[in-house]
Amino acid sequence: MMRYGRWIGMGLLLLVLVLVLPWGDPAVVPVTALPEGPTSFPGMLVPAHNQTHPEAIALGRKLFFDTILSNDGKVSCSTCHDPGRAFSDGLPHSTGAGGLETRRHAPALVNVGYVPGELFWDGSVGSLEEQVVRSIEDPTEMASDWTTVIRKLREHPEYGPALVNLFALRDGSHLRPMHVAQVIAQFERSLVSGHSRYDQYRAGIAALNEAELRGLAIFFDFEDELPDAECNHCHTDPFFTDFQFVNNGIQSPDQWKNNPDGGRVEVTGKPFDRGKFRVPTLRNVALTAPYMHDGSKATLMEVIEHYNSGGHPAINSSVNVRPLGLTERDKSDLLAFLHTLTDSTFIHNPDFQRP
Amino acid sequence: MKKIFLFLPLLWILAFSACQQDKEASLTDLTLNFTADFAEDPLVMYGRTYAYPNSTDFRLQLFQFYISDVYLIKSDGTAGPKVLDVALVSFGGVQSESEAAQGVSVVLKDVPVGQYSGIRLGLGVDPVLNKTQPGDYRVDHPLSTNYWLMSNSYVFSKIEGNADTDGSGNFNAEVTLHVGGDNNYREKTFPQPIELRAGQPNSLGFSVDLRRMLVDDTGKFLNFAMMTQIHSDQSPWAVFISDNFMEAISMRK
Repeated sequence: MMRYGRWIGMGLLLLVLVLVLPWGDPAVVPVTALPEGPTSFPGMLVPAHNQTHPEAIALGRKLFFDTILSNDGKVSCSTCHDPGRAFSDGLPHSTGAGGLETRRHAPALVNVGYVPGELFWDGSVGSLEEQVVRSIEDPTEMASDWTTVIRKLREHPEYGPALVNLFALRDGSHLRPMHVAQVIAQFERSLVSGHSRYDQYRAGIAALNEAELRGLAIFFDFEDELPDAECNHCHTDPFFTDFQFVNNGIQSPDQWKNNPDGGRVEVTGKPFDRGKFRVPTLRNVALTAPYMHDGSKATLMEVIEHYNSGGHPAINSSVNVRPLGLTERDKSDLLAFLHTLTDSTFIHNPDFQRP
Repeated sequence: MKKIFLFLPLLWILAFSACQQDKEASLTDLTLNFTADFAEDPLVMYGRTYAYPNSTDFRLQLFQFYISDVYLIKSDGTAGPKVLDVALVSFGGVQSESEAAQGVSVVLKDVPVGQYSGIRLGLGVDPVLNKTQPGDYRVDHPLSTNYWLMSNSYVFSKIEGNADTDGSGNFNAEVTLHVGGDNNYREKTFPQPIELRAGQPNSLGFSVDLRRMLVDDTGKFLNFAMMTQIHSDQSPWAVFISDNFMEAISMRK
């Protein structure tokens, strides 16, 4: 009988596994260890191959703030994504480790884990993990190469053993770029912001003043007697972006035709995607100046003035960008509302600071 | 007696395998393919200009709508299996005639095979789902976006484009027609014999005439010289578009 014991055990184990294992969509798993947004937030997608783990987030956080990933040892992810600026850098364009300037303005990483598809202003990377892999070798960002980065991490007294341990690798020789990308991506997914005064107002636990409420009504087109600033078509609640790619009339007709930065067309090849860029979130927007994909608007009021003017015409300029006729008071109140989207708990969250 | 335990996992696996085969034999995939036109012309974003009443030219940027609560109809005329909760059909990415001909497809999995007498589509978001909000879904769900806080409703359909109302060629009028609200939800049954078989592609084609959504069969039309925006559930013109949608959508043979 004993000779069959092993087979019985294996059979029962197989049976148990078949009955117990989840049979749901293998592409995603529920979020388990990320900060919770408000209930108005749709659920985040987390890749099955990179499930959330507190130790991975902590390690990703250290790497995010460490200049070890850059060629010159002076640039970290946080150089362009500063927590105090809602993970943006305050510059129209950033300067990478190779001394070269980035092509576009560094986007804020607010709620970046919720982006349902491609990332970047033009949607040219498919995931946060892929974004990390690419940023290391981008000459305008880390300007490094993975062979060097992996060697430095393997030889590092803390990172090498931590990564080997976290991924249960046999030894440091098995360390791969994807391991590094996965922990940084996990930290980036943890950057959840949903506790602004606007959120508290929606939850019924805070009040907005008269100007803010009037600005809210103009933003969302809540009241017929007030103008509609058309913001809500693209900057939809709860993320204050619909994640679409839009030509918002920021480029003049000449720029639209001749600008070497074609935006979305560079990814899709579709001619009418020229000049389209990802609609950015407005959460914490008061902290993320300058604005637009090219950092060409220094202040929020300049942005409001741009939209009030109707922007530059182009065959694919969004029809939601049109002359608005906002008064000075309307613009001021709209600005007041945009400031209610600042989430001070986000920028001061100790889990998001330099370790 | 104990030897019987040897065979339990094997029996279970065999039973599971047989069930899977039965399931595969009784279920199939069904593709709902939607194409859009503007009268006789294929609907293409940006690159084409369409003749519209009142000597107006019209150019599109976006046309999208939700379908929901989709049922196959049994031979006795009663509702059969529900095959879809909700999907967003968007022609926003259609920039060429070849893409227009290809259309937009919604692939339904595990649809019971059999003979049916038709299919019923909800045009818009049915009232039960319309009580939900984006926070009830994951970000990849069609109902995680397109929500109107002001009306507590999803935006069922969007028609956006530029109209040249003065003949200047400047396409001076920005047209944004957004329709939502339970009162604008419609259901349409398409009576047509449908046979769904296992192990082979099954597809049903639908076409939507966007012009017919804006111009009814009496010639009444939404005049872009007078009105370019509908962001509403209660506007009579929102109801006009919703009513016209019933006539604008048809099933391809």
